[in-house]
Parts: sequence; structure tokens; C-alpha cells
Amino acid sequence: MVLVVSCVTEFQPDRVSIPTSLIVEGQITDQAGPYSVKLTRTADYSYTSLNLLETGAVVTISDNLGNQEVLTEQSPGGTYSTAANGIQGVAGRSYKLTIKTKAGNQYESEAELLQAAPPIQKLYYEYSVETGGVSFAKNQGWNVYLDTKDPEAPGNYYKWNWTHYEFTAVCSSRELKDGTITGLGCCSNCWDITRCYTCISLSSDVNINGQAISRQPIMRVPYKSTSRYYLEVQQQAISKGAYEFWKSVKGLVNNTGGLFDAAPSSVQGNLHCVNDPTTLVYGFFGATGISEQYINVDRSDGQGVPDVDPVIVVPQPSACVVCENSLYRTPNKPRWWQF
Amino acid sequence: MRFLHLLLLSFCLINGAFAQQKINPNGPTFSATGYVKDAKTGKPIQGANIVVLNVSKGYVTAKDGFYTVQLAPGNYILRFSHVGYRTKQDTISLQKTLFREIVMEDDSKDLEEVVVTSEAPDRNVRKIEIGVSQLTIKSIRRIPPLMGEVDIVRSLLLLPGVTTVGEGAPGYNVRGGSADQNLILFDDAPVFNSSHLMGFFSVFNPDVVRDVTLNRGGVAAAFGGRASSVLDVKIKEPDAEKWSVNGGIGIISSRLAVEGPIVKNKLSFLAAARASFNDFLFKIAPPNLRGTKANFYDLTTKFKYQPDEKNTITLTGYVSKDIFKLASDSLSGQEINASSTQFNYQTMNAVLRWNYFMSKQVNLATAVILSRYRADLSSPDSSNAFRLESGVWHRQIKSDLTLTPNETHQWQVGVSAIDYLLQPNTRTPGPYSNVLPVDLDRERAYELAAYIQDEWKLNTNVALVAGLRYSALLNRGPASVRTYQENGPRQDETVTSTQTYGAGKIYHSTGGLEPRLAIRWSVGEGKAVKAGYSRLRQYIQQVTNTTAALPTSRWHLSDQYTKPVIADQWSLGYFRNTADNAIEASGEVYYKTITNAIDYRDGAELQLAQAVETQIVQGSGHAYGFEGLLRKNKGRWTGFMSYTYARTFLTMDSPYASERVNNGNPYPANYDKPHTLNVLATHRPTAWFSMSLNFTYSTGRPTTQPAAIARVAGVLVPIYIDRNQQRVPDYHRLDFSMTFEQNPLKKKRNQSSWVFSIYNVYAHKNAYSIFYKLSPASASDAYKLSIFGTAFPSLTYNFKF
Repeated sequence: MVLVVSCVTEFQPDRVSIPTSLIVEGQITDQAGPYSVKLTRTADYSYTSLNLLETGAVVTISDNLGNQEVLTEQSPGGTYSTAANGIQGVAGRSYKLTIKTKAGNQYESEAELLQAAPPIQKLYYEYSVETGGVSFAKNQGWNVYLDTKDPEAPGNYYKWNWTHYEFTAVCSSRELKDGTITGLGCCSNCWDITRCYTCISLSSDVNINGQAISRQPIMRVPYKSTSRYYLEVQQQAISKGAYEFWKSVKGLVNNTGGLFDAAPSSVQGNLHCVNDPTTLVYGFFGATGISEQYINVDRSDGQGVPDVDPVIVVPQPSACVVCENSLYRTPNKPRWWQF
Repeated sequence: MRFLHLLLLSFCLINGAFAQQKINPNGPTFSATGYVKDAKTGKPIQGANIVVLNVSKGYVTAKDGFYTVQLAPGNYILRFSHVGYRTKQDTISLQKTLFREIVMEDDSKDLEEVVVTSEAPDRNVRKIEIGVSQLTIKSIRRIPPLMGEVDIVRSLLLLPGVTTVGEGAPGYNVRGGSADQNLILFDDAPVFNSSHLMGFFSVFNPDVVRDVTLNRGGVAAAFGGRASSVLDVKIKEPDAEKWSVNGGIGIISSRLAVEGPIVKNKLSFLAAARASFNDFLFKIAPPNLRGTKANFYDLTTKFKYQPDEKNTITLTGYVSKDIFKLASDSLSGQEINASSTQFNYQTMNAVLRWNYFMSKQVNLATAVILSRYRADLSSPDSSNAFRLESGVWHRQIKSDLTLTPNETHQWQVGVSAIDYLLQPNTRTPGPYSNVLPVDLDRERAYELAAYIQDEWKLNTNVALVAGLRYSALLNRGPASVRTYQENGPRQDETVTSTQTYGAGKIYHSTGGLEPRLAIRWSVGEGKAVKAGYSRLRQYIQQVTNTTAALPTSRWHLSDQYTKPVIADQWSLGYFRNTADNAIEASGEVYYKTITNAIDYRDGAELQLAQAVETQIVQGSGHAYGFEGLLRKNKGRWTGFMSYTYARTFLTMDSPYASERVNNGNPYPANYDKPHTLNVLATHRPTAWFSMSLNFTYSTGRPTTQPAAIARVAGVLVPIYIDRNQQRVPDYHRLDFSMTFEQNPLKKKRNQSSWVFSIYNVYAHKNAYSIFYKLSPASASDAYKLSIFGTAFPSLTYNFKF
């Protein structure tokens, strides 16, 4: 409920504290591995809190045919990965995660059935000028939509992720005292990666079983340049449990605690502690079918000057910086990169 | 009307002249003659006393208000007085025959409105029932209004024991009951949604309301069907003598009402319309709100036909409609992509009532009542267009017979039959839409009730009202009823079989007795002790998982899985009137148990659930509290102060974790607000000016705060443990209003008034809600949303002619 007269102010609530619990995140897919599982601990609800890593655990993925693999912990700890030539997810099999922590607690996930994802039928975009945000400034952009066809059988659940790659010549930058930004070039081809973690985009076929899912909004392309915007979209087929988990997460992230908002409830996920049922554990281990598609959004029809990022000055000649493969940057050419 | 008035006046003049000649036989006396009239309405006042102060002679006005005083020539002071009017003095110099018209002002400005409602001023200590509050529309108009809207439900919030979950929230909570546990009757027809604009204003047009009675303790046996309270809003009787028009213009809504006789003293009629034209507010709003549309209207009509002294037939009609469009799908609760959401909801009521006054001992009142509430939610986007519709149809016939065999007993017996048809949400896709249609099974039932009650005056000090009501619900087909595994929670996965029943087949019934008792013991002059017990059974519930119910929230009948809500309440109070009933004080305590209280399961989805029992839980509740009231009824300053201490706890326990709330431990209900203080003061120095101040304070409502944070796939997820363990900050607010009326002495026919008010004078940012969000851009993790975070002035113009 928003009215002209409403206003939002900061508020200092009394703190509540609970013992820390294990948080599990990870999934196996029908795409090539390696797959990783991350273990952390809950922290007090505060913007200063840190979620500590859970190191030294034994993490195992197994399927219903008896195949299994013990994951190896990656440095600096807390993240456990399968081998590059190790287990691979196959549609139709079900997968389970078992964890034994250093403290001796045993956790287990429910068995998750991996279902193949239907192909993305169409990715398209539409130019629009919208107003919003704090300043209510007019904002140009391109809304990207997805169409797909839901299989006849009921019980399909979807989650969409997107990844944007942008070619970059600068691999390191820092701000100078006068406000200008100086940087160093990359030693190889390099792409910056942009994702949105909090944009949880979900749907189920409960309302549309067997029909087309149309105009599923994926993201909005900003007018930061007139060049084409390269976007990869991943359509995930997830289980009902995973759908409900993510839906609760989305509900909690977007909940404004209003009178007409659904009351918040605890999000548990599909794991439980085997040796002590009262020990809480949060998170989800998923088995996910994936289909992918890409689109290049033509931004040449934007009006006026694009809202460009500050220019980074690279002094010439200068040393180059290695393009490290990470969550935010990659030297590997994106799958459908054409230009 | 003006024409009629002139005629009347000239007739009076002729009559006066004639009278004057008649009473002047001989001798040196002159007559002072004239009419005594009501300053506001112009009606003649019969039986007014006239005392000539100098000579101590007394006279009384005749039926038409005419008076004649015969005196020797000289100077005199005449004093005019009558119950309900301010005493008036007139100085005359009698040298010839004088004609003086005297207008007298209603003293309701001084006295409390009980006088106006023809109730004794000591009603507080004389009436037998406990926990009953009555507000007249006049006293409601004194309360500083929000945005100029005189509001019935908002005024109830000043009464002890009545709270709300938030400013601008729909509904209200009475003594630990949820909002759907209040039976709201508008001239006998139940109202299923009492709010306009999602909860900011109530659906009752103040121009047609006569009075409002809230029964929160001693509910009479004639009422039933809801577990907490009965709000009886009565529409005034159309004026059978003359026509009048009144209305008002405000920033939210404008009103127009007309009433008068079609056949004088036989058939009269009243119609009142109210509509909002506040879209312009959104047009000047920030751009992201410009798509918002919020409009409402309501129309109330009443016919009264009195063929003879024994029979009265009234027909009441009421229509109300709301449109509320939001430029996002934030409230729809549907997993469908939408660019905007529109709520439409409407109420249509009709009541035909026949009152047969057989003799002084016997009165029979029969009513046929139709009430329909429909709500829909729609989204316009072609490929995802849908319309979600729901409705409640209530058809009732009831008859009440009152027998007064003697002074000590008054018996009342009655029967009632309700036919319910509930349409839970039905989703219809648009013509090019991919959304699947959903059609949930209709719910049908009969609710039958019969009662007997005796009001018995045992002696001069002790009186009681004892009643017994039996009510039953008969669910009827067509229906399909699920059977669940015996040892497991009720969920879609544990259904073992489904049984279908044909149309008209009664497949389930439930019912029980509802005893009611109220005793009053007068312990001295102006002192009374009262006690009461009541049991109320409720068969129709609104199920929701939001703090306040949406207009589209689902109504659900009791059935084999959802048991009727039963509330048992014990109350005890002490009532004291002093200073000739000018000061009223009372204190009441109550304890209440709620059997089969309803709450939702964690993560419940109620809108489109095929079986409600898979989404809700039932448990027990208990509520207790103290309500104190101090009131000043007379003088230039009037007002009251009320304090309430109230607690409400619910317990939802089950062998299965998914059917437990907070692990089966008691927790405060959403509307548990321990302390509430209300103060209203009105100062009326003259008949044409008054000002009021209203202060309100209450403890913040419970809320659920995250206990920890987890980071899952880059998303910071708050972790909630137990429901309702924290509270939003306390609420307090001061309002002010001023009313300028025309001097009733100067202008008699056309009246107008201006009301200027300021809501939230000191601009306190009260918390509507608290929400939690972690953002790297901000050093805070909790935020407070205030709906009326600033002082809100408004101006309303009212007229009557």
C-alpha cells in the first residue's frame, strides 16, 4: 500500500540473536561440471555481519544408481567442488547431498530428481522509457522477455538467471585524488561479467500448465552505451521443493512487512540434520536441468547521449594486468560472442 | 421547500392575529403572543414553560407552539424553558399587543447526545447489558476527522476495547477477536467489507446514520454468527413531514442526501449518495504513483411506509463500490506477470422489514435480508490477463417477537435462517491469455438459529437479561469432500479419497447452544455493578495470511475440517454516575477463551487453495483485559478519556510440525496491543463554533523480526524463527478540528458549516510497518514505513436546506 503521504525512515530495532546454523548452497545440473557446494554459517541480522565459512567438512554427492563423489575443498575453504571429469548430472536420476562437519554433525538433503529444461523458444526485447527510482528521472532501457513452451505434464517449475558479458580493455583501475580514474590494460582478451543475484525470477506451470509462458520478464538493459548488449539467459528446470524455497526467499527479500504483505515465515530448504533433528540447517541442494539462449540487444535507437560510466584513462605505455577468471571477469570468450 | 415554508409562516401569522383578538375581553391588559420554535429545524415546541419573572406567572405553549401572555402594560422579562433546550429570556415592553417569535436552541451542545437519542442520561448505570457502547452521529461528528471524512469505524477506535492493526487498515479488533469476528449490521444487513479505499474510510455514509451501537460484552441473544462483537449501525428514519436536502464537499468525497414525504406521514423516502473524486491527488503525485486509481461511491436509500399506527414497513437499499488500481502487482499475490493490478469490490444490500405493533404487550418484527459482497482482482496485460472473482451471498429471513406481559418481564423470542453461497476465487483468463482458468468449488450452507430471552426486573435494584440461543450450520451439496490419512498433516499429498455429494444434500452439520446472561445490581444512587457471560459461535470466517485482510481475502464456511470458532466471555464492571449524570465513570474487566481460533500455516497460500484445511490451523486463544472510561457529558467542555489494557494469545499445537505455529507455544495475536489511551475534549463556547482535540496512544502491534542472516547464491536471506515476538514502535497522535456553523438564530432554513481539521498535529511518523532490508548503500538494516507521516489539514463544507 503506497500513498502519496507515506514515508520511509531508518529504524533501530532491538537485536535478537540465535545460535549459528549451517547454510548449504549448491546444485548439480545436466550441463558439464565441475559443480560446487558452499557451506557457511548464519550470522546475526545486521549489515555488519559476516557469514563465516564452514571448513573441513566431508561433502558427498550421490545418485539413485549408487554413483557418488566426495567433493574436494577449494582454498580458502568453505567451497567444495567435484572433479572436472567427475560426476555429471543426468536428467531422470535423483541426487542427494550428504555432509559431515568437523564438529561431527551429519546433514543430508532430500533426493532431488533432475528434470530436463524445455528449450527457450524466443528471447526478445522492447525499448521503453520508464520513470522510477528515488529521483523519478526518466530512464531509457530495453526490457528483455522470454517465451517458452511448458511440457504437457504438470509439475514443472522454472527459474531464470541472466549473465551479461562486456568486453573490457581495462583490467585494473583506481581513483586518483582529483576524481579521475586511471587504469591498466589487460594482457589478453577480457570480459567483465554482470549478474543479478537478488533478482529471483521464478514461475510454475500451476497456472499455465501445457501452455506457453510468454513475456516472462528477464531483465532491463540500461542505456549506458549505444553498442550491442550481449546477454546469456539460463532457463532452469527445478523441483517443486526448490521452487518453494526460492519463492520464500524472494518473498522474504521483497517483503516490506506491510499490512497486506504475507507474513514472513522461516525458509528451511531441503536439508536436515541426521543425528540431531533439533539442529537447524538452511539452504538448498538442487538438481537442475538447464537450457540456455543468448541475445544481442541493439541499443542504437536510444535517445540522446547514453548514461556512460566514467572514462578510465590508461596511460601509454604501461604494463598489462592478467585477466583472472573469476565471478566478475573472464579471459574465455563467451559461448555466443560474435563481435 | 422554501415555498412550503413561506406558506406555513403566513398561516401562523393569521392564526396568531386571530388568537390575539380572542383573548382580550376587557380591561387594561395587552397580550404578548407568538410561537416558540426550534432554532435549527423550525419545528414548533409544544409544552414549553413561560414564566413572567416580575409577576411569577406561568404559561405553557400549545401544540403548535403558540403562546399568549396577558399582562398589564409595563416592562417584563419572560423566561422560556423546555427539556432539551437552552433556557431563553426575552425582555418586552408591553404597551400594545406584541407578536414575538421565540427560537430556542437545542441544548445537545451542552448535554451529551444521550438526550438526543431519547435515552435517559443515567443509561450508563441503568441499562443491564455490560460492554455496550452507543455513539450517536452527532458525537461522531465531534471527533476530528481524517481528511475531512466523518467516519464510523474510525470513531469506534476511540472506544475502550477496540483496536486496529494499523492506521488505514481495514476492519477493527474487539477484545482479542480478529477483524472477521465482528458482525457489522447496516440496518440489519451484514456488511462483509466495511472499508472504502482498502481501509482508509468506512462504507457508512454519515449523513444517513442515526446511531451506532457496539456490543462487545453482553451480546443479546437476538444476535449471533460472529464471535467477538456486534456493530449495529442504524439508518435514520426518513422525515415524514418535510423535504430537506443536505450535503458536503470534502477533499476525499462529496455527499448529497435528500429526504422527505412522498405521502405526508404515510410514505417517506431518503436517498444519500457519496462519491470520491480523488484521482486528481494521484495526478499530482510522483510519477510512479500516477497509474494509481482510487475511487469509490456508495448510495443508501430507505423507504418508510406507515399505513396505520400498528404497521410500519421499511425498505432499505445500499450499494457501494470501490475501484483501486495499483501500477504494480505488489498486492495481487498471484504468480503472474502483471504491469498493474486492479481491485474492484462492491456490496449490495437490501432489507425489507415489517414491524407489526399488535398491542402494548406484543410486537412482531420480521425482516427479509439480502446481502451480497463481490470482489475481483484483475490484470490487463493481454497474454497474461486474468480476472479473479469471489463473492459472498447472504440471504436471510428472521422474525422477532417481543412480549411485555407486565412491568417486570420482557420476553423476546426469535428465529432466523440464513442461506449462504460463497464463491471462493474463480480465475478467468482474458481472451488471448495463457493463464489457466481456476474454478474453486462453491461453498453452500444454511445457518439456522432460534433464541429466547427474558429481561427480568427482580426488584428495584437487581435486573437481568437471560437468553439462550441455538444455532446450527448445515453444509449442503454439491460438494466434494476430501479424506486425509489418519496419521499425518492435512495436505494435498495426504488425501486418501474424495467423496462427492449431489446438489442439496446435507453432508455435514454442526451446532450448539449459546447461553447469554447479564446482571445489573444497583448498589446506590448512580452506582451499579454489572456482570455478564456470553457464548458466541461463528460459522463463517475470513482466512488470510496478511496482517490486514485484503478486499479479496477468502471467506470460508465451517465444515468437517474447519470447526466453528467459539468465544466464551466473562465480564464484570462497576459503573458510576455523579453530578446529575454529568460525570460518568466505569471500569470493566473481561476474560475470554476462543475455541478453534484460526491462523494460517507458515508459508500458506490461501487464494487458490482447493482445500482451505491444508493451509490453515486451528487452536485455542485467550484474551483478558481492563477497560476504564471517564466521561464528562455537560457543560462547555465535554469529552472522555478511556484506557484499555488488553492481551490476546493464540496457541496452535498439533502432532505435526507443519500444523504448528511457534512450536505449539502461545504467541501474541497480530492485534495484541496491551495499552491504549484515548482522550477526546470538545469545547463549545457558542452555538456556532466548536473545537475538538483528540489524542490517542497505543502499544505497537506485534511483528516478526529476522533473527539471523544467511547468504544463499549471492542473496542475503533473513531467517525468521517465531511469529509475533517483537513489536513495532508505540503509536501516538493528536488531532484537532474546528467547526463553524451559522448562527442558528440568524438564519433558519439554509444551514451551512465549515469543518477545518488537522490530523496528526505534531506530525509524528507513526510506524505503519517495520521492514528489514540489507543494502550496501545504507548503514541501516531496518526501516519504518509511515503512512500519515505528516500533519494533515483538511477543510469540508456541509450544507442543508
